[in-house]
Amino acid sequence: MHDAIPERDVALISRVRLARNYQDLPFPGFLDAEQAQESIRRAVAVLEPRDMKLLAIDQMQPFQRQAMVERHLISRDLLKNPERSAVMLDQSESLSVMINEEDHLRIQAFVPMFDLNAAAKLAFDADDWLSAKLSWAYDMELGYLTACPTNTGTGMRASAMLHLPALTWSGEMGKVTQAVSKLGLTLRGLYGEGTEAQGDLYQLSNQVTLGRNEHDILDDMQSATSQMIDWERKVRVALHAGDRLALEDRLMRALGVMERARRINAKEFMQRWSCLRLASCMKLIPIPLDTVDGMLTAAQPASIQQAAGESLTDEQRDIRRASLIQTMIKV
Amino acid sequence: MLCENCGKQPATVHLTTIVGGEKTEQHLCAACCQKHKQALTMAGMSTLLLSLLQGAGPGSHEHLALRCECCGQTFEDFQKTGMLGCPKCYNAFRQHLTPLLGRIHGKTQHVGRVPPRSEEQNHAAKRLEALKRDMERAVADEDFELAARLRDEIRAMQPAREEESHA
Repeated sequence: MHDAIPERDVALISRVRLARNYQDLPFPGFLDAEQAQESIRRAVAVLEPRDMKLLAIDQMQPFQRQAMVERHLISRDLLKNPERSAVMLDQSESLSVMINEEDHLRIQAFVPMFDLNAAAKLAFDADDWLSAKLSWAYDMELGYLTACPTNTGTGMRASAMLHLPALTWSGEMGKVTQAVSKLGLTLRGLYGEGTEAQGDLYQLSNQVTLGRNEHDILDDMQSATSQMIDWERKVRVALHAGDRLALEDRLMRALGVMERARRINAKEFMQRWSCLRLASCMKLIPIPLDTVDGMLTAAQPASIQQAAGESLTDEQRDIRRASLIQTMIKV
Repeated sequence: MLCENCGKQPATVHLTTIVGGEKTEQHLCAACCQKHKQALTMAGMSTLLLSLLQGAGPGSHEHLALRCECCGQTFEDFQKTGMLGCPKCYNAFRQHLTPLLGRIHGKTQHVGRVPPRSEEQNHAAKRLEALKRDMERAVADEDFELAARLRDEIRAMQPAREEESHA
């Protein structure tokens, strides 16, 4: 059913994040243990009655924490100080509030595919609940005050996770990066700042947070994302028209490996996965996009260990990954 | 200004490097800056911020010793990490932060959501501005009685607002 949604071939997830800080506490990097707990208590007091559950990061196994990063529910940065940080999640896992990451609160809303406005609405609702009870660090000139001045103003980062294999393979990403930076937007790797674009997955997000309101930022992102989707599609068509056999050979080889290999490491998985996803979009293979996208999270290292319920060696993970993929493809 | 490397794109990154007292300035577009500094590749804003901060040294270094009375962070600490210590740092370093924010975001005045709890403050500020305008007009019109009344009203409002901003 989701296959019918038009942008689905390129856009995987839309996300909106709001940074908020209490006016009377130092930023999280400077909190003492008691203040850190106070920061957590305040958020919990507002969010628990809203059916959000507190997860204590410090009581989780390392692979459980990492699995949450793989599902984008928390950032790697939140794990730098597990005994002082926490996360609250709603039941559907479409809303998460990270506590004591770089800012006191990072409200994050996720929506599948390309619907930034829906994600924004979820985030603004959570902001309204919190704002009714808590006093934020806010300045009439500079807006919401954040630990790093790159977020000052709206504190909002809207992002779309995009699968751009054709643009990447045809060497167009340099041009793409230039084009988006002119619009006040930025492209990053899969897990955010400073990470590689594994699986040809990128996050497009706004850089500017001061001097443009949330609505305009969302509009900019909306139109830039649409243009990027069109660009990727055109290059997909051009690649296929230019050397059909070469492209299909590349994609079908990936399917061959995914169907038959006995061990697949995480890096190889991401490369093959990207091919598999493109092949599914182009209807070259009968595997639905839902299955391919489900595989993305399930086959990540920590998620495999979480499914196994124990910590595994690299070798054990690679074996499980191969069999997991094959089970998913067959179903 | 165009990027001095490729000469095609507008220069959006301005790097100042001081080596042995010799100052060199480079004006690059985003793409060339990425080539220039490997570390910037796919790194996004924090790295950009640090390059702005470390490149932005004007002649005097007095501002580096500026200290936030609330948390004790100095501007130099901020320049090293790109992170402020507490919300009050914005006031302590405002003079130096505002131009930096302008370089990052292109603008320095927030527009957008306002927390409900500060709307009262906003309202008070607008009222104060209106009173000041009225007072100036009254003075210009030589209506000194009205001007004095307005002046007293303005005085009555100001300490309250200062207390709020220090709270």
